[in-house]
Amino acid sequence: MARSLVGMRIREQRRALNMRQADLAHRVGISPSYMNLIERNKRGIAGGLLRRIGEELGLSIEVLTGTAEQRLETDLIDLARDPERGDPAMDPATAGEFIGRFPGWARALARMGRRERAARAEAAALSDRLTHDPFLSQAVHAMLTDIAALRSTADILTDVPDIGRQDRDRFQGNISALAERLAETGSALAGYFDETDTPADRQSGIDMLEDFISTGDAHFAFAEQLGARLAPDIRARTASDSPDDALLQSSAGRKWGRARAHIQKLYLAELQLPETDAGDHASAAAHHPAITGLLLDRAADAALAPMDRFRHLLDQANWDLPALCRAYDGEIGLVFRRLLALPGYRFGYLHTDASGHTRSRLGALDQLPRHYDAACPLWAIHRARIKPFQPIFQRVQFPEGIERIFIAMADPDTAESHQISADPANMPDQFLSRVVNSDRPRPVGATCQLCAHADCPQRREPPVVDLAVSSLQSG
Amino acid sequence: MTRVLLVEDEPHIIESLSFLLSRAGYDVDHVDNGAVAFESISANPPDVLVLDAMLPGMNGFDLLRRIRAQEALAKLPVLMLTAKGQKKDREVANAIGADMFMIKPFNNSELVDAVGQLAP
Repeated sequence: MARSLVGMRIREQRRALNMRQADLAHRVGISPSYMNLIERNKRGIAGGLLRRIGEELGLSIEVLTGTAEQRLETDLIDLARDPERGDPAMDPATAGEFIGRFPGWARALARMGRRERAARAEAAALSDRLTHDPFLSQAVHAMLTDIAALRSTADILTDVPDIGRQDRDRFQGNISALAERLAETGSALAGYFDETDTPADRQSGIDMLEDFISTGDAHFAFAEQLGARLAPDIRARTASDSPDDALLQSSAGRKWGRARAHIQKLYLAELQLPETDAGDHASAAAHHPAITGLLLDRAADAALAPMDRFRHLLDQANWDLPALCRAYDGEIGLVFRRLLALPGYRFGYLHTDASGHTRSRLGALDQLPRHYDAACPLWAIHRARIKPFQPIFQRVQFPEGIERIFIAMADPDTAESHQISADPANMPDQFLSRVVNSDRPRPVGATCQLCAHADCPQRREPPVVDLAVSSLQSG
Repeated sequence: MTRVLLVEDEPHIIESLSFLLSRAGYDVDHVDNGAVAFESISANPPDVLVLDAMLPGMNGFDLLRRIRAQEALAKLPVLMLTAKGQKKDREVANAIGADMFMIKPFNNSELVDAVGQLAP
């Protein structure tokens, strides 16, 4: 959808400005026939060309690429593919058309889908908590034991008519003591729920995070500016080995970790509440720990790899990502996240820890598994850990026929893996030339449940999608 | 007189059950620790054992396993009590040799009846 909407938006804005297609093509330095292909969605567009067209049309890249609408489409595709909420007749490929024709309905449906998913996750988390939380387990056991004693004692007083006075007084005293103890346990339990984060808080953080990625442009821009402003000071401090340096007192060992710790220590409030956006919805969300972490990441990235310098090195290295990582002291995550922030491109980014658990998913979220889903085991990100610091390139095709390029690299020290996914139609030739093109794209899925590839050797569980229908759609 | 040993750590439950079972004609003794209970049972086996699952020293399941591992105690009648009514607890209790299983909060007369069924 990204490509089709970009072409459509270019055409609509050009017409609104009464500009001829050939004139726009001339101004941005391409042929009219190529501009025609772009507007008719036959060619992808990214990078400098997208930026130039945006400047000529007076539209930002974010408006042209429709970041918010891409999020909306991702949500609807998630909904269509979900085995419990979706329906086999919902074709993910028509999500873009649905948004175009019924934007209000589409937004409402996506909102309901997100809330329902959050509610299900909350219920599952509560269930887990009731089962495994040691305090709750002990408190519930104590309450049941006291209730058992209370019931048994009360029944004695009721059912034994000839009970002696001494026994009666003793059991009545027991009832009083048990009631008092039950009240104390109940109060402690209520206090415990009040004092701790509820699972709802934690779960809604995932959706809040993704909402913020879509809507928090001003905050990211501020974090970028802050990082760039601090860059000279940060570089000087991270280069220093002086034990008096405040940065070295942080627990993080590497430059990036030290830079992030420094910004967190001195500039956190500034990041959370930039003066330009005080009081808006995104500013409130910026205080959420997950979002604060994201903004700190961005500021640290910008401090150690200011975008102009990064872009220059990227061109100089001819998109050779390992060379770029070496230039940035082996900070793979830093390089991959800077690619994600590169204006004019639309990457998806996945970051997993040493156990393969997803730590973050940013950028183009389509085709990426939800946090609580297990990703397809065929993806490059899992293979990268076998060969740390070596780039693993993969051309992949999803069951719907969508092609992507994956580049993954693993950190040799932490065994964390990073993966960028890119739409080949939007990537420059220098980048594509590094991908082995002779091979056919490897069939992959998002998760096993939603994947229609019947003969996959890595399948963990049977698919819930209709293999025949999916094959027809992909064929 | 049939001797019943209560292995239970909640004093109010011990009082209630001791009162009820004594009134029903049993000789009732009690221990509030799993490890101590094993020594007591090995030295002087009761006729019926009423055993709580959650105990200090050694939990009721482990105690029952050790009891059943001894040939002399292999047929000792055991009624297990637990505050957890989970299916898994019942399955474990059955698998390791509990003769009967009751969930707290229990009914007094049902518990006394159960002890009566287990008594020799």
